[in-house]
This record gives sequence, structure tokens and C-alpha cells, in this order.
Amino acid sequence: MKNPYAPIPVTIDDVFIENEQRDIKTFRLAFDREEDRACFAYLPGQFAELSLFGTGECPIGIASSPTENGHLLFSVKRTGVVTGELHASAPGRRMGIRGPLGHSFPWQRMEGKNILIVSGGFAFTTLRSAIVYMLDPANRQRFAKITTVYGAREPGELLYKKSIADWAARPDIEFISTIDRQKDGWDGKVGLVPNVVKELAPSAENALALVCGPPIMIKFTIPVLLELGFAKEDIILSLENRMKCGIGKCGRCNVGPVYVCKDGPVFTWAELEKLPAEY
Amino acid sequence: MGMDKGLLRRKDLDALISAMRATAVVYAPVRDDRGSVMFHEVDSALDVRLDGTNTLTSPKGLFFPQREILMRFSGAALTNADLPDGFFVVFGIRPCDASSLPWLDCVLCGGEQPDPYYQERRKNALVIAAACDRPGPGCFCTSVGGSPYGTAGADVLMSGAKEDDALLFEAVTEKGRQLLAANAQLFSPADAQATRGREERAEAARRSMKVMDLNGLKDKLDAGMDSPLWDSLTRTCLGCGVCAYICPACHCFDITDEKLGGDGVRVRSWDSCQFPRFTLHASGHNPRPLKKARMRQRVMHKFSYAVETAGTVFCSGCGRCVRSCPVDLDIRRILAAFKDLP
Repeated sequence: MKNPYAPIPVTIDDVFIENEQRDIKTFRLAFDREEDRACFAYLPGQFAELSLFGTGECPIGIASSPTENGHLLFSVKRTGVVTGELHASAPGRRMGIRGPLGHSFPWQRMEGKNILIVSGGFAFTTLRSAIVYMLDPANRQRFAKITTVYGAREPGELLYKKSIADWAARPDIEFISTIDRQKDGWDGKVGLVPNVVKELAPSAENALALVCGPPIMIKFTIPVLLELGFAKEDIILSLENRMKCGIGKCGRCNVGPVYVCKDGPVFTWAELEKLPAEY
Repeated sequence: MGMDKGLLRRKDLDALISAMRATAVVYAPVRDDRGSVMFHEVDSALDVRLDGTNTLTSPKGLFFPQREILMRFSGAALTNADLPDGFFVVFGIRPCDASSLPWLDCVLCGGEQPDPYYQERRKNALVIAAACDRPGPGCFCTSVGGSPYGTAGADVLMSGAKEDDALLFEAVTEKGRQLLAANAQLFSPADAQATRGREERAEAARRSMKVMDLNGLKDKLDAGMDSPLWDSLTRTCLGCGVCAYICPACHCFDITDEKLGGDGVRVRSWDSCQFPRFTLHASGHNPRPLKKARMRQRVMHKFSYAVETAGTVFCSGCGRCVRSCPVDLDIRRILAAFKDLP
């Protein structure tokens, strides 16, 4: 029997500093065993427990896309004990992961749809995975128009700056990045994410919206989307809660009758609206 | 092949325990050196306490230990802890506690990824329940679908017979029938004379308990999520968590690493939703910052969420949380208050 608490051995093979504050780093992990790499089947939106032996585990969304074969990316903000030790780790460090965990974005429902992605700050990680996945030549024709609004407090806090520049230049995705207040050297959009979405007014026709960001952004973005005509079922969000097991047993991430780990982390607004706001 | 019923003279209980000990470790209620009746390993019938109220803590720890090593590591090398092996018998568990085992199964064995440690112990255990003739203060099993002579979760139910000179063993599962068959020489046939009074005793035990009508409680609770009752009813709660630790159905746990030098263990230990840090995010955000939200979580999980996800309440009415709460925060009072809402 497979032991769900047993981490898969991996090694950090590269580390990238993502922001000016230097408190978000992306870790590229390589599987120690080829059979683990081959078995690790995931879709964008899922997460994994990063496991540092002797320190602990923390649940982090998978930032790489399954189309980027061979390694996994996790963007981690330095916040607590495990993330602190991770940030102090250099390439070559051996560690573990447990996963993939949770449900992905609803890829079957997303087929043939216009996809609107709305994100703010550090919550962009699994949406990077989604964009890379959709833009892969093998997948691009499965989706109609792809539009992204991605904002941060200031330019230095936008993640994946090089990828963003590439996407902004591509014809097969409309990618708008925005910052909260004007800053020298920034020639892009200025404005809060909900306002930029309102101004852009993407059509809700045959569309699904993926929304990941800080609670305040979510709070003001949802009314905008509803006003644009998006149905509650067509607004897709991803929750975070404190977790331990990641497989629906330890009870920690329980919100109403659901567990964020095994029933989520991806939920529609129609589902979330019915739950107590305990996340 | 098994045997459905048998009568055991009380003086032969020791022989039965010895026989079971040939292949299994036997746990039973014992008064320990601190004066508490708790489940411990026994080597004879001498110390077994089948009378009196229930054990101080529930016997769930025999299946789901309070502290359990999941992994061992040395540097970056990691090994799974060995799965528990060896048969064991839980002798004299009360029907309320036995009835909680299928609920723990739902959570720990359910889903796509069963918990191998718990599952192995469940597979290796025989559960012999002792019918409850004197429900204790605070007990309310009959209000939550249970019964002092209930058989849910048990392999065998035993009850007093022949003026208490004997014990009637009734097999509930095939495992139970096999136990009776394997020890057939100790049992006499449970004929009509032997089982006389059995139904009357069960009925008397049932009747000794006050029944709360909890029909429709879930809907009232669901509608009352924002009710001010949560403030007033939980004001005295200390957040000590004793209700969760002694509960046969509570199953929340923590996973932590312990390390000395380069070697260490990853440990699973009981936890409680009554502790503020249970849900505290690393960012400082806490989805349940107030004790009323935490007590609401405990009550809602047992009486609303579990009904949705498992089709049953996760409360056996064992009454431990009623008896042990240091501020007399009686869960029955919470249930009744919501049940009485218009």
C-alpha cells in the first residue's frame, strides 16, 4: 500500500529570486528517481507539500506546467519556519514533496472557452502554470481568447518578469500587467486590478474567469465580474488554508463541509458563497 | 464457520482472556495507579473493570495513538515507520465508543488515500463491546442514534446474564463468530433460559436515559451560523481542548518534525480545533480567530458537516465532554438551544 505521508525525494536544482523585496523565490526541483518523475501527473491548479526533513512541511501551489517536462517549480514567500529554511537553501539540497494534491482548475469545462485570468501579487503562481499550459502549442487551440490582468503594488513585485514580457508581446494572449501607483521607469498600466478589469470590460460570453489574489482584490473583483455578466459558477477561485496532511484527514483546512486540500483548493464562487468565510 | 451466541460463566473470563492472549494483546478498562479507569493491556481478568461509568478517555488511541511516528530520517535519507503489526483485542469497550470507530474509518480509511497506520490497526483488532446497564451522568447516546446495547463498530456484544453470574456473548461480525467458535469449550449454549431478561435489561438501560429530540437540528444549526447564541453559549469556554482529546470521534491531528543533530522523526499527534493556532496561517491571518467560531466549528462538524459528508452525526453521546469540561459547557445545552430556535 502506498503511504500517503511518504514524500517523494527531490533535489533543488536552481533557485531564482523573483521580487525586489527578495522574499519570494522560485525553486526548481528535480526528481531523484526517474520513476517518480514519470508518475507525477498533475494539472495546473494543484499543489504539493514541500517537505524539509527535521523542519516540516508546507503546502504550495505548483507553478510549473505539466508541459514543462522534467522539473517542478514552486514560488515560495519567506513567511514561517519551513519557508524560511527553504529560502536559506541552495541548489543541491535534497528534500521531499508530497503530491500532486487537490483538484486542478476545471480544464474540461475550460475547453473551447474564452479564459479571463485575474490575479494580484504573489497569488499568480498556479496561474503561471495555467498560462504556460494553455500557450503550449499542443494545447493552444483547445481554448478561445486568453486575457490576463495581473497586478502588483509596484513593478518590482510582479513575478516571472521575463515570462510576462514574452506574453505581453505574443499575439495569442492579451496580457495586461498593472501596478497600483505610478513609478518611475514603468510605462505600463497603472491602477488597481478590479478597476483595470472594469475598464477592460471583457465579455462574459462563453467565458470562464480564474481569479487568484489577495482577499481585498478578490472582494472587489467579484462584483465587477458579476456586473460584466459572469455567472457565479463561471468564476473560479483558489483557496489557501493551514494544512498538515493534505489528503482530507487532519481536519485543519476544513471550511464548512469541505476540506480545502481534498475538495479544493479550486472552487467556484457559487460554491464559496455558501461556505462560512473561514479561510 | 462461526458461532452466533454463547454464555460464559464469569469465573471463566480469565480463561477466555488467557486464550485470546495466545495470539493477541488484550486491552481492557483497568483502574490505573492514578485512580482513573483507562484502557490498558491486561494479562488476566483480575483487573478488568466492566462495571462503573465509562473510561476517562476514549479507547480511540488504541487505533489512532495520541502520538505516533510516521517517518524517520537521517540527513536527507527517509524511511517510513513500520506499520503496526500484531493482533489485539479491545475488550469491554462501551457501545458508544465502538460506534465511533466506523466514523473514524470514514475519515481515516476513506477517500483516495487511506491512512495506512490506522487501517492496519483496524484490520488487526477484535472489538468486544460491553453493554451498558448504568449509563453515567452526562451520557446521551439515545439522543444521537445510539443505544446502551448498540452493536455498531463491535465484533461481539457482551452483556450480563444469569443474575450477573455469567456473560452473554453475541457475535455481530464474522470475526466475532470466529472468536466464539475458537473458544467453544468455554461457552455454553445461549438457550432461551440463558438469554432471559436480555431484552428487559436493554430496555431498562435505554429508559434510564432522557432522550432529547434532535430531529431537524442540522437545518437549525445551518440557519444559525451567525446566531448570537454562539456568543452567549460559548462565553465561558477556556479553549482548553479537553472535549476533543477525550472524544471518541474527534480525529484532527498535527504533524511535526523532531530532530536531534541530523536524525529525527516526523510525528503525528492529536490536535484540537479549539486551539487558536490550529488554523493560524503563517501570514498571521486566522480564519477562526474567536472562540465562538472555534466552538461552532466543533459542533457544526459533528452535527452538520458530518451529516453532509458521511451521512451521520459524529457524536456518540458518550458524555465525556459533558463530564470533563472545566466550565460545565454542556454540548447538550448548545444542541437544545439551536433545536429550540423558531
